Amino acid sequence: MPKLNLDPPLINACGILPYLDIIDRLEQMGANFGAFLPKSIGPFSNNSELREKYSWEQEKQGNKNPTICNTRDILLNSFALPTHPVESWIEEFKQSKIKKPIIGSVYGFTPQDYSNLVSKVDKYVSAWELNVSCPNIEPGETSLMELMSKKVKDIVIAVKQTTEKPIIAKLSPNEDYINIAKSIINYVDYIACGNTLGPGLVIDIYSKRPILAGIYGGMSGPAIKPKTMKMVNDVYEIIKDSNIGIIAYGGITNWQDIIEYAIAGAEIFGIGTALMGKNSEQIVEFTHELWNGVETHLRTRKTTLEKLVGTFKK
Amino acid sequence: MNSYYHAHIEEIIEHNKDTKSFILDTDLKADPGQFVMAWLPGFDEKPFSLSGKNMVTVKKVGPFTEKLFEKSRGYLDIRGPYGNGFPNIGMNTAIGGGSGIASLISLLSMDEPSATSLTGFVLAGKTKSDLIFLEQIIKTFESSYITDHSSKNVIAVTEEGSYGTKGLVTDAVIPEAEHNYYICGPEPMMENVAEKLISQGIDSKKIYLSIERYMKCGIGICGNCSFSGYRVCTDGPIFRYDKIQDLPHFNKLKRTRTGELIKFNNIYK
Repeated sequence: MPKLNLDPPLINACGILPYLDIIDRLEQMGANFGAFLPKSIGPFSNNSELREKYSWEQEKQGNKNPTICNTRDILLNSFALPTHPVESWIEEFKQSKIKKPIIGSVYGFTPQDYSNLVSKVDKYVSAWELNVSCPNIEPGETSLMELMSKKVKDIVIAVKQTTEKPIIAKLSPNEDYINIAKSIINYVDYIACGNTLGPGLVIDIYSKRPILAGIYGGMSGPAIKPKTMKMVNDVYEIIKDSNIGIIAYGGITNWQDIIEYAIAGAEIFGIGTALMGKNSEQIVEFTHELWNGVETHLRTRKTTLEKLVGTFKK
Repeated sequence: MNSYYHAHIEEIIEHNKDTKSFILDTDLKADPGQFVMAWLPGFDEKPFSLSGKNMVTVKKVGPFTEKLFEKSRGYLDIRGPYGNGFPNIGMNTAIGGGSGIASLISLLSMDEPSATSLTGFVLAGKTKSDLIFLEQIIKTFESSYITDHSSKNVIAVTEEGSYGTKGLVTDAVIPEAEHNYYICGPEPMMENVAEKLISQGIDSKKIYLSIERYMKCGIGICGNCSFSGYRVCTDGPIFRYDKIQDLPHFNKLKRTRTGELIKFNNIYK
């Protein structure tokens, strides 16, 4: 199976630093990511024929503000997948000078949506992350997580027939990820654990309304790390005898978190909420700090990341 | 517990038919040039420059500001301050176009050092009513003359000549090599002023602009306010001109609410 060789195996979580100009800027400034993920591309098009055929709108607006709510302990977000036409993504890809691998993220409402989008954008990316687990909605919608969690196997198979590139299934900690992981073990290269937790609710005590315009929002940050840690280890138990790797997303804020996720079974590490409030220079510095910490630990313990993966002793 | 401060509106100042200042009951401990997110529960949330340590000045430009203008008292929920501020070093000249004056007025009202280092203020608008805070600037500069005998210039410019110099802001700018220039207004105006200053011998490293883009999170994660890869909310909103003058997005491109990159015409779409 094709594998990603990332140096370092550190990436941004999908939806954070979402556009190619931001990625390009951070790469030029020396950010220590091994690959970058732009935000999820979705099934919307400028092409009138396609729009008619699939009854697509040209874009999905996503929620109004507030789209985030930062409590003391946890960050909630509900952007609800604002999506513009794939053609304008392609225009930006054509002009991009990014050298590091790009992992494309894609979402849709049918397996064909996923494979259509993958075929259009495939030549610009090094791997595909399939977003089947976003818990956020515009009020009245059914979430991608609920819609797609039952179709993950069909989606993975449809995409596998479309691309030779590594396929990552990004699963939700809220769904039956154990059975989903078991069902796709023969088709994917990586399983990403996981998407935001929840969704949760924060109420404004004065107006008695939800703070988020989308009412509920996926939860992220250090507080969710133990939940994702268990998810990583549960999935590791399923895939440990295969070639599948695990990507850990969930509350990584320091090098110790990365080591802990490696012990639980992950080999690639995504950061998101930890970047909150940081300007570009601070992000660059943070990525170096994180990886220097990991390398110092490995050197001191005379080990490697590969040897550490999945060494958890129950 | 959440990030909002439920601020009591102490006073509302009406500058003209579409500009109001809301004076709040709290010192936001902000630097001049920073911004806050103001939330109307059940409606929407938008970024606003601070025009003082406890004041936001708002121009009516769309549904959100129309709704905000309905408030005659009560509370305003805000989070922040966010972003960087003006560097506030040395002698400074502020150049504001229309509602852009509001963000610069924070240099006068926030603390003593910035008020004393500000030695010139150029205000520009279509008519006199666009020259918000004019009296306050004149008064502050006069009182600082009494204290330290420093000479400070207020230059007013109106397009149709109803007050001050008749013409465009670019006609009124007087270059002083030692000064920093803080410019806030529509992006084409800021570019014109900056280029004029450079043509008169001012170093582009001494010119700072306040940039605006469609903002969602305000804390650097959603990327919607990306400006050639800089996130305005955390890398800005204040940018040194030499770092942005050649960027492909400057005065040309912005992202809409869905993140699509489109040509610059109306920032408020």
